[in-house]
Amino acid sequence: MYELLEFSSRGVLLGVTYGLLAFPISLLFIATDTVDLAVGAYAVLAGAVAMFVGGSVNPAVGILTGILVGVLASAAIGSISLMLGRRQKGDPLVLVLASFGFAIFLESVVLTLFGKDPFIRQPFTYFWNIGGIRISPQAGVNVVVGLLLIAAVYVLLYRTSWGRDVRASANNERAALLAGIPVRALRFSAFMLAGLLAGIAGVLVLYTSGMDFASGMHLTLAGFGAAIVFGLHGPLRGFFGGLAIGVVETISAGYANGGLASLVPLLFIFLVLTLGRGGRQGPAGVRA
Amino acid sequence: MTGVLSIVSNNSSAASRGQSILTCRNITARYGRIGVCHGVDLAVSAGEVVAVLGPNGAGKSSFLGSIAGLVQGDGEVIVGDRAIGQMPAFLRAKHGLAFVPEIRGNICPALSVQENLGLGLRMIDDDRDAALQRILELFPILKERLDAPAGMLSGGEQQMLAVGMAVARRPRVLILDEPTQGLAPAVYDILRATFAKFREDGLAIVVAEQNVPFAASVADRFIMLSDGQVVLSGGHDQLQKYDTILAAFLGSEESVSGTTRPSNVQ
Amino acid sequence: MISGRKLLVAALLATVSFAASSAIAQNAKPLKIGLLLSLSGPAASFGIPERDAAELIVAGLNSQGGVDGRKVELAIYDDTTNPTEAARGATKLIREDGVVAIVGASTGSGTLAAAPIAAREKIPMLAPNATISVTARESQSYPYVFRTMSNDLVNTKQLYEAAIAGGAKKVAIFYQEDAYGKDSATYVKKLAEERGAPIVDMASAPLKSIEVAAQAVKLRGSSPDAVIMQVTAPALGGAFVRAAKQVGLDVPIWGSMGLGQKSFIESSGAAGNGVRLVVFGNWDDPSPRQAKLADVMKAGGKSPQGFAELISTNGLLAIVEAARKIKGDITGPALRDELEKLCKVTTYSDGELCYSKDDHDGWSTDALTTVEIRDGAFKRVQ
Repeated sequence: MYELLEFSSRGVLLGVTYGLLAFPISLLFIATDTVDLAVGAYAVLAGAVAMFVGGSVNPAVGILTGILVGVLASAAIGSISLMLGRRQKGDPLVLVLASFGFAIFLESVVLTLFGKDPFIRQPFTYFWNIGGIRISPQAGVNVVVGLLLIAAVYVLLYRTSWGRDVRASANNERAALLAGIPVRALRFSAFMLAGLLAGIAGVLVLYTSGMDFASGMHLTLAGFGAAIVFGLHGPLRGFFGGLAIGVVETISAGYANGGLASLVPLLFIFLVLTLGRGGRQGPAGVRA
Repeated sequence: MTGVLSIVSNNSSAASRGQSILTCRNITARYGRIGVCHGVDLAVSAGEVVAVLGPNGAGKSSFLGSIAGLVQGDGEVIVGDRAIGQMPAFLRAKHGLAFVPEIRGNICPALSVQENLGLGLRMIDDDRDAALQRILELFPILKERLDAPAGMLSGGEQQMLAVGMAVARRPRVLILDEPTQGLAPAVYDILRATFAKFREDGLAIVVAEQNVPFAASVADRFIMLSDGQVVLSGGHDQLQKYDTILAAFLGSEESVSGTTRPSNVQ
Repeated sequence: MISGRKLLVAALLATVSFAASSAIAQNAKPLKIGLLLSLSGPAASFGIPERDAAELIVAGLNSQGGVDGRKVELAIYDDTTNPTEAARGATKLIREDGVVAIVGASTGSGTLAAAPIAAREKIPMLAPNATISVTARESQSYPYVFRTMSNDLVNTKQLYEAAIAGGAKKVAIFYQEDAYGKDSATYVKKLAEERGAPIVDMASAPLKSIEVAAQAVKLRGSSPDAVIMQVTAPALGGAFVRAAKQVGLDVPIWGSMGLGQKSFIESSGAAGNGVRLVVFGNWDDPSPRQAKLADVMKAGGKSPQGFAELISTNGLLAIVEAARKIKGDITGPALRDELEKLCKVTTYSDGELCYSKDDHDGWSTDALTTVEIRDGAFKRVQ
């Protein structure tokens, strides 16, 4: 029983990372109706830059530079999205494919610039002992940042006119234009924000479990799983989806055997999507 | 003098009545390479209501869409003395052009009524609260539904919301595409009354309609499109006079009162 | 016959006098060798050092007059860590570049895809892979495939033997979820049962897992006195070592050869101290022979990173050694025949190379070293 508690709490801590990666995915889905498969690649890029700049200048500068580079990378795909939008109206799949290509491009950029070795930073050499469970203080940092970002994203989307305009653009582009919203510029800003969130997630992954140049797609898929499990149209759902998947994953890794353990989380996502209603039929941005 | 319910900006008050607020010259509209509207002219003065009539597929919606910048097309569009024909849709909206597309296409069903009204008010720099109050006095029913998602409103309520959003920012020109479509005749009266107020405030209104009797009851004059060209135009008298003939031609079965036969009641 | 030792010295000298003009007989036909390596994709971490070492060795040979007056030429093909590309690359290297032998591919699956083509064209492949099936006796390609390192069975057995040598009775296994991880875990399980000390628990994680604390907790539950990691990905290995530390699984951890990389040490952080590996070569604390390859690499402006440098040069030197024994035209079949006769050849690796008609593996436990992570480096354990 005690073991189950340990698995669950470790699962929550793992899930925070997934939830952080789900933020940019569901935010972009809400804002632009597309899925950006390069989100994990922004995170890896941010993490790699944070590690190398952090190593040669100082960690804080490294973190900021890393996040900034994440934003710039995301702005690049945002520009591609604008160009695509100009030529052909609306097929979201085109951007999904473009972002996939961009993810592969970023992967080789990271490989070329920063090499093949894993990127990891571990400033904490001691552990917290919470009820007999040893936890790295980094996990505490992750939880705090995760909660702050939840609050910030929620306020931004549901309590500011920027958020209202973003949701309006996703819900009815024509209506947004008629209300005088510069929809394309707004979408571009949503890409930048997604890059910011992905960059923050990347830095936290760097400080938690580390990554390597090829981790991008894995991170995207982890975030995507978290984002879809309770419905793509709310970033808060994505965060809790991440927690749920994290808990399912650690419990199955603890009790199930071998390959089955890594199948269980996928099975869980599949079951929730098939059986659950999850409000997925609703239009984007109705609820948090 | 503009009343409490004035929804038109001050510089276009009754003083400017008679002079053209919206001028459209040689408007075309196309989808890809297929042209659906060819060289249509239209001028509307302050306080004037012009009906755009025509059968299905005549190019009414494309004509209006082209003016609003939502449909590809060319031609001169002037609001006041500002040429906006080359601007993207969102900038045309900023220059005093308000458009209510078919089936209340300017509302966001997922957003609450309050948020939708917020969209309507987002281009106002001065007192937004006062502007919001004006709209709620115009359509009191919205006051009770502020927190409901717009998609949950009835068709009539949605139409009021759509019109309310369009005029919230005090445009100079209001364009409506088939405002009566799918609505109960009871709503017609509210719309008529609303148009009358707008007219007093000096708003220039263009309304495309299949429902000739409704159009005849609100419009000062009309143009009729067929195959994307103006084939007939005339004044209020002719509209009244030929009401039934036009209605038969356009396939509408209603009379002026609009009460003989409810159409597509929600 | 020139011994391997002389060859080493020659290569070393050659590299030092790198700029000196070479005196290669102009009329002799060059010895063309193909490098079919993964220079991009996930296995690039092997392919790139494999190529770098091979290029430096060849530069050294050529500046010393080549192989019996023949200049050595390399033709390089990047298989992008894709077996289909590896097969295409073999065809291209043989048909268009006219190579007489191939070193590669960087991955076992790449070699398995390319070997049938090489065998059909009668061109020997020197395979820098530990994958068992690469030199499967029943394969049609067998006559033309020669391994350049110890195979997985040898490595895994040695790892297990080393782990229990200290008296460990209750061994647990953590393995990565791929063919290598599963097969070697199963093999250790079998070895343990034969010894009458069955494995007490097993846990696994996908190759790209970022967090394996749950797996460490699971193993902790069976209170093992040693854990064997059948993992090749440094990030996953590091994650497990850190997780073990975090959840209080404080027992000796043994890792497989693939973790013998700097990045594993970095990724393990402080938790890595005391972790032991059985490796094919060690650059932090190299044996005298490996030190020579390190010198060659450094003179060429590269620093050796793992066992990749050793296994590609093993292949290259085996080809050169076989070529020296051929009097007339150097052809694929002639090379193959001579390769099969090579024995007691030394290269930069520890141990000796010995191929025969029935053994194309060539390398055994004498090539392996036990090392321990201490203060951010691998130290040899005597």
